[in-house]
Amino acid sequence: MPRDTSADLSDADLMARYAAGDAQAARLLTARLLPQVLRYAARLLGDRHEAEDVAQEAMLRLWRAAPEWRAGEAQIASWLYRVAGNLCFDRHRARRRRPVQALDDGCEPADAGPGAEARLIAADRMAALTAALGALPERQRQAVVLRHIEGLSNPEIAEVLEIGVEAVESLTARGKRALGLALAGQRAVLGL
Amino acid sequence: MKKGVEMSEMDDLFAEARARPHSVSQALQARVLADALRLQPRVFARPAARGFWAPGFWAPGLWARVSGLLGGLGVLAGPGMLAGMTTAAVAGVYLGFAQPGAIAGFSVAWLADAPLEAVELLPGMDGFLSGGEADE
Repeated sequence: MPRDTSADLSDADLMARYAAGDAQAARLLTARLLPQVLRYAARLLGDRHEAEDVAQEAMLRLWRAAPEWRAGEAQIASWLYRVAGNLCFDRHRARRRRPVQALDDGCEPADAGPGAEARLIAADRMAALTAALGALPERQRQAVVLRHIEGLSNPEIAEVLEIGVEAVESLTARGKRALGLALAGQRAVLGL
Repeated sequence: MKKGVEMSEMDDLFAEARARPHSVSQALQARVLADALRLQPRVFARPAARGFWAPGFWAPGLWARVSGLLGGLGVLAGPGMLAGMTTAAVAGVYLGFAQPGAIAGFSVAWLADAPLEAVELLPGMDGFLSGGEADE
């Protein structure tokens, strides 16, 4: 019997196989979902190590949910974004008194080779963006990151945040305006 | 009043953010996979069928195995005997499914508790029981 290629299998199919004891399904789900949840957590927290903790915890909850997962009830990626967002919110609340230091937003570190100056400038721009995102209210930050960096559609964001599509449009619009004002003091860093 | 960053300038910033690589460290991958395998439900396989019901029982070498089974019961099973047994078994199955008239009648009697004298066990024998008419 020919094996299904991993590209043919949906996240839900892989979850069902994982719950049925297929170890390969665990590897495929990890390869597929871990990068996106890590990237999202890094954008929300601005800290690579905390983002890794959140990503691991979110995946752990996914493994625990697998035996009871009902296909068609929710998109697994949306569910994972929601769990990661809630975990990030808890961490933000815990460190609210400390200013968000965007020293390590989880991206690749710049090196000293050719083009290093351009990479440093790019790194500074990203650090400024991360710090400005950190200053937004939690829901606006999540909506802006999901829309403008993760590239989700408004209906997908609505599923993640468990709100209506119109509420998503309002959140992203307000969040983007607030972000623009927060970045106003960073024009020099941004090269604007 | 402070002037905010233009929307188009922010769109450029977002595009840069989307393009930035976020690689997953091998250590994190290993931890996540270890969690997955530790929490994965265990699926227990059914024990394999044995003997008569085993899938490979009816493979070539069947006669040798049947002979071995019968030999274990103290019966000498030569090819002739096995052929006879097989024929009898096949005939029995056929009669059960085909239900020729006499057998069907006997079965009805046996199962329906009908009086036996109402059943013709040997239909068509009446002519032989009456006298003087056989040769013509």
